[in-house]
This record gives sequence, C-alpha cells and structure tokens, in this order.
Amino acid sequence: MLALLMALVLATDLAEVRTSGDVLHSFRKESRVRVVSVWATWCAPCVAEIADVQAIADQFRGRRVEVIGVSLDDMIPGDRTATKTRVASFLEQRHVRFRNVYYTGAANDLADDFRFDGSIPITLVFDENGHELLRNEGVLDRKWFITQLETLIAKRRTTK
Amino acid sequence: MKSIALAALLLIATAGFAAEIEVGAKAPAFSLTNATDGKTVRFTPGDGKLSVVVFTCNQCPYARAFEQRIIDLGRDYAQRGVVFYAVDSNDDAQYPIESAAEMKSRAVSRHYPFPYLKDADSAIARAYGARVTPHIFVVDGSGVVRYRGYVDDSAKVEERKHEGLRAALDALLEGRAVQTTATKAFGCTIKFKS
Repeated sequence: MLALLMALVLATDLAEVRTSGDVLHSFRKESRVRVVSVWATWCAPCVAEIADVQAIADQFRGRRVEVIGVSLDDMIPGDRTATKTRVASFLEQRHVRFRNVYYTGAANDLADDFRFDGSIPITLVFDENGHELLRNEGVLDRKWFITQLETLIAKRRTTK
Repeated sequence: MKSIALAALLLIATAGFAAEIEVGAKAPAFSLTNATDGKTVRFTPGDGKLSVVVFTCNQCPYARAFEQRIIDLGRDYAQRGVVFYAVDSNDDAQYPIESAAEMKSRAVSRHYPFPYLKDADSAIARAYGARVTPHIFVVDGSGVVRYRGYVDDSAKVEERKHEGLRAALDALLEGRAVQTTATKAFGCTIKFKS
C-alpha cells in the first residue's frame, strides 16, 4: 500500500509534455549541456540502459550538465494515470534520480523534431540554445558517450 | 553560421541497424515456416499479388497494441486480394516467448487470418532492414516496395491522424500513387539473432 502511495506521489512529479519544445524548455536555465534520453518501460533496451543514464547524470552532477528522461509510455493505449503511476514506480525501483517527463504528444512529431527514425532508446545532447551537439542512437555506449561529453565540455569551456 | 559549424561537428553513435529497404526497390523473397501449422510459406515478390510483410512479435507491448488492428486489416484486405505475412524475427533462444510454439498459441487464440512466420535467424528482418515491431512493408504485384513504416501514426484510435498502411493499400488497389511512401515505424527493437 505504501509503495502504491509512493508511486502515486511520484507520478504527480512526472510532468506531462506535449512537444519537443516542451522537452527542451524543461531544463533548468543554468544547464549548459542538456541531455535528453528518450525511452519507455516497454522498450527492453531502454530499460537495460537506464542505470547507465543515471550513472552519467551522477558523473556530471555539478558541472551544469542536466539529464532529462522522456518517457514514451503514453504511446500504448490505456489509462494515463495508471501508466504514469507504473512509470513512476519503475523509476523508483530502479533508483532513477534524474528528472523525467511524460510525453503525451504525437511520437512521430517528436521523431521529426529530434530527427530520429522512431527507434528508441536515443540520447541527444543540446546546448542552452537548443542546438544539437551529440547523439547516441540505440543503447547507450556509456564509455563513448562520457568521453564525448567530456570533450564537449572542455571545448565549450575554451570557447566561452 | 554557428549552427552550421555545430552540425558539422555533431557526433553520432549508432546501433548499426541495416538500412530499411528503399521504396522503389525489389522486395526480398523468403521461405519461412508458418508457426501455426508447420508448413513452409513462400513469398515470391512479383507474383502479381499486392502483399504486406508485417514484422511483429509476441512480447512487445507496442506490437500488441497494434495486433487487433493488423488482424482486422489483414481480414478486410484479404477480401480484396491482398496477402499478409506476419513475421517474427526475434531470437527465441534469448526470448523464449518468441518460440514457434508460443507463436502458434498466439496466432490460434487471436485467430490470425494470415500466416505467422518464424524468421529464426533474423535474416529476413535484416534483408528488409526492419528495425522494430510492428514494422510494415507493402509490396506491389511486380515485387516493388511501395510503402514502408508504421501501421498508423498512433496506437490510440482517437489520436490517429494518418493510417499509413490502409492509405497505401487503398491507393495501390485503386491504381493511384501512394502519397506517403515512408513513415517512421516506432516499436520495440527487433531482438536479432546474432
């Protein structure tokens, strides 16, 4: 019962977004490197990589790098409140602490705007102006991604 | 200028899927076992029949969300001479729910009006460049791919704006050009046999 209540509370924190613009506007102003991880609980590779996404969020904490997960669970027909509760419960069980939003718009619009072919997971990195800097299509290559992020941060520091 | 420079510098890592077969290309032939009755089913592109190859599977919730829709379309369009082939290319060694026995159980209980074929080594998915389930390829009577992508743009009836598969079939059956020939298929990634 307690777990269910906790999941319900967490579900209310799972903000609903309808567009790619909403996703990009969900980042804190001070975040200079903005990582968007598009995923769903029904996507096995997404579930498999979520610990890596959390590890990246942890590794770059305090360096003006922010990670936001975009759940596409709403693509499956069903009761939205129940689905959100399930997603929140999943995030709680997996000890996911990076912020997540719940996408309720058309998935194809998101794919068009972020220029991907519909395959998830996909991880995209934007600057504070919404320009894409980096992407990882498919399961996150954690080592590669961290190296690229470090390079990006160093480059941005020198061009500041 | 800045955005051009950034675009040039954009770094991309990819999962390395085979590219989807192009619309206008000749569709690959296949000969696969129908899990429902154990018989071999051959698809010979250019056999004069308008055909639909549906990559799907047992486990994926997104494929399941489209299952009844595909069954209904398969049944409706069979009356107009369209042949559907449902193909499960997932590795059943890693995912036993994708075994031929499980496929048979699903196809029988759901009354699939088309064969449900096991692509045991995922070769056919690779040949078509199928990435996800469900992923659709429409092949005309001359064996040329005329549409690829999603069934519909949403699994939710109330949010559906484009019925990709139906629109392609209607156009081809009426001798018109398909308006939207390629769409983005969403779904669970195919678990390829390595």
